[in-house]
Amino acid sequence: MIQVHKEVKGDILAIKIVGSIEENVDFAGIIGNITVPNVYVYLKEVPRMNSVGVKSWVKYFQSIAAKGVNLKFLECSTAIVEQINLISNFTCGAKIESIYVPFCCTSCGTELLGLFKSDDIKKINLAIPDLKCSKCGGKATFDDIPEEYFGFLMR
Amino acid sequence: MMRIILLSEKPEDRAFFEPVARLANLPFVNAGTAESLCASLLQDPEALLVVDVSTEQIYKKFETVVAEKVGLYSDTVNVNRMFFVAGEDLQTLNYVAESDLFGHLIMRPGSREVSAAPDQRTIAEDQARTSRLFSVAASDRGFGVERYFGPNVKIQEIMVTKASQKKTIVESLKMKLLEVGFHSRAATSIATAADEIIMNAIFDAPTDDTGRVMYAQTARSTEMELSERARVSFKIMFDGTVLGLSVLDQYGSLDKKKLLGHLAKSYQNDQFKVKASVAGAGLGIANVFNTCGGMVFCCEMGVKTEVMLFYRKAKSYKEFKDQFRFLSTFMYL
Repeated sequence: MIQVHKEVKGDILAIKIVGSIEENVDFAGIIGNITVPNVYVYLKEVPRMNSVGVKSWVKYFQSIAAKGVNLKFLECSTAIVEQINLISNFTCGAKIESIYVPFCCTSCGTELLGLFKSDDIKKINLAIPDLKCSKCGGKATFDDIPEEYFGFLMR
Repeated sequence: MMRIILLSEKPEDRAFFEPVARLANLPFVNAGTAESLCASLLQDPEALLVVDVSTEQIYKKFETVVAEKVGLYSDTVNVNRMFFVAGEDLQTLNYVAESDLFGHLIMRPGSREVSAAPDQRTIAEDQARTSRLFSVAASDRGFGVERYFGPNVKIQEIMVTKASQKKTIVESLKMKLLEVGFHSRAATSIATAADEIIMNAIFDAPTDDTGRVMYAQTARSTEMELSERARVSFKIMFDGTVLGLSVLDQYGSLDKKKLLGHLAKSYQNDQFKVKASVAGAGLGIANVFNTCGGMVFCCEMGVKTEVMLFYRKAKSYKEFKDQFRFLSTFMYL
């Protein structure tokens, strides 16, 4: 079951979603009425989504966007980035502020994640720099296909 | 006589499929022309046909010759033994998805520009996998996920008796995959695929006597005890390199045309937007197809359907995405 943490700061509602988004999710029930003009959704801790979860997501966030709310998705997990790339209307008009980028160490195979702003990735033409592996100090390279993982930035 | 007949001008196809035929213990023939392939087929209706369909022009030429020489709907043409080969995915091959001759699609190994060309060991594994697929196609029925593996495979079977069991199965599968060294994103993809095919078997497979989907309007979160017939067998299989998943239902209600239509859809395209109001519209299975290696649908109408997925374990997610891909359908009336 997912958990939602909410905090209002001025005219911004920050929502942090934790857990897999599946058939049991009821966004309207757990998030409730939106009374501010800006909604920032933090998605670092969404590890997985199934097709029913995707439909609930689209239904809920489309209804929010239709009310004129300014939507931003931040710290998108790899699972969320995959959905953004796979489904043209998944973002429901939201700005994708930042995403987690996957890396894999070429020496020890450790998986790493780096947080990048979407605008910065565009500025460097999707040429993601290597990282230093936190486990062995080896070179960790971007572990996906740039044209696919960053496909949403090229739409 | 059972044999493999290839129709392709691409040397890489001959280089790939000739050893596959040897592994499957089947004679190999290169047809050269569609006319020659049809002549061979008329003499030998049991043959497995492997046909390059890289472009619509090549495919249409083949289809025209089959229509003229054999007949598209002739009993001589057994689409369960028709293998198309292409370098592209189904989403860019609409003419293949719409073909009445579709049985299987093998995506040419190494055609995806993800990493370096596949090494000899990987090619040999892909050939071994294809030879097992051919051996199954050459047999009477395509059922039984264990038949797509060699002898040293470990198998676990779980009988799903209530809808809520799915969540536990999916989470346990993900943990197990991490334990045996699957990359975490690969484990997540596979777990989600299991989620989708189990959910389809529970909610989309059951049909009533008129063929109506019984739970089309039922929320997927509904807690349901499954009747004897509605129970779903879920199998997990791993040989140290390749993982297989299988879901078997006892309805046999698969609509092949509809299935291929779903798999050929690209939701990246604005033409196909996700509609929140429509349950079971194929989004889940389309996503599974996008992320898996091999996908097999085997259906005996009105009796049972088995959906099988295959994934190769890889060192990185990038390599996981570059795995050997095929789509197979076996339909029995």
